Amino acid sequence: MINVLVVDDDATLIFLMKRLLQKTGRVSEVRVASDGKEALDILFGGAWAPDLIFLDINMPVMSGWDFLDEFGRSYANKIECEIVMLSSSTREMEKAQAAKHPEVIRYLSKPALYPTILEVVINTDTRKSTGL
Amino acid sequence: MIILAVTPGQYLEYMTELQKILFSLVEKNGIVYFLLDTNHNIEMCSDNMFQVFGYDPPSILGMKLDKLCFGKDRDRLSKLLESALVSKDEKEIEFRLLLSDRRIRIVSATVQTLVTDDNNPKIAIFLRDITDHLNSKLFKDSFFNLSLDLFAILDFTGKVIEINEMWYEKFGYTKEELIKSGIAKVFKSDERMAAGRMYDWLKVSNESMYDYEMECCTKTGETKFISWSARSDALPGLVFLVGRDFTEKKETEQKLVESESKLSAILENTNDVIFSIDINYKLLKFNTAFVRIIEGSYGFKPKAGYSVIDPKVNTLTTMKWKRLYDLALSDRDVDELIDADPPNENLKYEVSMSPIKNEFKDVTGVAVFLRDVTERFKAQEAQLEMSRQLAEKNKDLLDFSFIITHNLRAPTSNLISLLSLYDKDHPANDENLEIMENFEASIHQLNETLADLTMAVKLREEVGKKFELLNLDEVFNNVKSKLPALESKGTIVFRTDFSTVPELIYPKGDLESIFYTLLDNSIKFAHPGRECVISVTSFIVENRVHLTFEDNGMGIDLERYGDRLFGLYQRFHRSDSGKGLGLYFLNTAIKSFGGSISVESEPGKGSKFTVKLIKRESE
Repeated sequence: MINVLVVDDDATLIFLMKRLLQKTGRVSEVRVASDGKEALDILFGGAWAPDLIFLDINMPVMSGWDFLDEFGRSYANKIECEIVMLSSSTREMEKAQAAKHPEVIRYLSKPALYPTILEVVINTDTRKSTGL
Repeated sequence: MIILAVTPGQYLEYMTELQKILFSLVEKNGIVYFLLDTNHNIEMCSDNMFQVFGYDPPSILGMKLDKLCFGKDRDRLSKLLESALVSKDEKEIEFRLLLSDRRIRIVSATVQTLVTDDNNPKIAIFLRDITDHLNSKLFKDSFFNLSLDLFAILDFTGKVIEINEMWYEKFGYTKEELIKSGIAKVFKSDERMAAGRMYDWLKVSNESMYDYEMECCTKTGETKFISWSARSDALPGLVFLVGRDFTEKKETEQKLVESESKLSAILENTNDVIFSIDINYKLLKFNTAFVRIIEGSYGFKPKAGYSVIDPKVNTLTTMKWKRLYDLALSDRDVDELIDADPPNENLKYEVSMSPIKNEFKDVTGVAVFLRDVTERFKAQEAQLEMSRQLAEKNKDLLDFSFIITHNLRAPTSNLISLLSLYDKDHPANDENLEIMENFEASIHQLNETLADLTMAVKLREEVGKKFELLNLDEVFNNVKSKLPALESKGTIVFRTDFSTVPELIYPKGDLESIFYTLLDNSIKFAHPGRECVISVTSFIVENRVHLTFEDNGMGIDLERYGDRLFGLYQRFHRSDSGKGLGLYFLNTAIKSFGGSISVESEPGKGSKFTVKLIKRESE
């Protein structure tokens, strides 16, 4: 079982992601943040840590990129966490930029569909339980 | 002559005496005479034979005269002597006489047979050495005909005595024609009087005339320039005339003068500044354009010898020119684009300098060529600006198209995901209801996005917008009354100063939307802890109308968001109720009329937006 953080400012998407993640049956807790800053606040709190983060790019206050920069600087060495980009952008440029961050394991384009989400969750859960 | 009555004996005596005198006279005149017998043997020879031809008379007595004759002329002489014996007439012959030292002289002989009573005729021969005479004629003829100059010998009446072939060559008149009608016809009609006066002067003067240039005319009317030299000799009454044709030289000169005047016309009539200096920066030559530019910039007329570099003045202008001159003086070609000297520094000049060298390849000066390329430069700048704008527009469009796909994609992909979760078999279950609510929200979002995009596209259209003269106070007040956020925020202090630029020519809707968006933003992001103060001013900088909107609101972290501030769907405050379109639309609309918008801000202190619009003149 894994903890998942969804970072997105779109209420409908958050609703969807909660549903889809719960449906997998391998997620113990889903928390949401509406921008990068909120997400950092959650991590900074230290009370709870996600195993997997779904991260949008275009958000107010702090974008996905800014979050990644800050995460890389401050948290990458402190928590065991994988990040999956989830964006409606299909620009190759953005995929390439995401690939520069070692924490990012995948780049998903919206819509988020159940089979893909399930696959991502299973992979993370498997890695976590086997320690690989 | 009076002949006295004398006796025949006396008469003979007189005659003999007379003969003696005559012979002596003949001898004195260099004429050698012989008496030959019928076999051509010399019986008697005059005493001057030795002085004239070098033969001692006794040594040739009894010798055949033929022997003294040059071999090739011998037959001719013999035949003449024979015929003289027969016809008794006086005969003339020229033949070559061999001297004792084997030299040859040409002699002219007069031959006459003398018949005596005893029927023993003698041949009398008078020999005259004509070698020198012939030689001088030969010289004259040779020079006359060899020379490319015109030769003429005239008498004092102007009659042609002798003339060479060149007259025909140069003027097309034959020798006969000129002998018949005189040489005056080769002078141009208006030169004839002067020629006549010159001729009269020559006759009375002992001096020679040299290089008197005259315009002459050929038989066919062609102009020839002839330089005449002449002298007269009063004794035979002759005038000697030599003419030299310098038409070609004259034509070349004329062409040179013409091409020089053309060149100087080009130099003088061009707007390009051309001048030269020596190695001490002293002016050598310059054209009128140079004078104009110096008078315009420095208020004095330049003269040759002036220094173009004042060694005492160390201004930037002086240094700029000195550097260029020094480059050229060090034997380098200079080609640079420079600003004109103050006060015309807004003009651009293309300057070319080339070293001037002497025959030893030393640099002795610099030729400078300046061309005003302001217009061309401006056109280039305008072109660069245009391509920059095009590139920017292109980037805008590219961004725009990505944003369209992105923003349409977000609600669409939500709809797809929602559909996949929808439980068709149990339409009424709670979960489905929640999905439907989200479904509705996404459809709504999609619709709004489409409306925004339609608006964004519309803003890019420049057509149909009417420029009109707008009063900034009126625009401000009009917009203020429409601001929705005004009431909910409590007191807001507005300060306006449109005194410098009270009016502006711009499309009304666009100017109102500038005011609306920026005022609305300032109010929306007012600092919660203090009274909101918004200042709006207008002024002119470099032909642009500046509108500034300054507030004391929350401010924006420009380090973080500066480059994205005017992008589509950018929101920077969590309290932002908008969709992040306001500044994007504003920026797009302002840019479409050649304006720009910029921002200065500090988080927590406030923001200042400056809108720069092109100042339009009313028509």
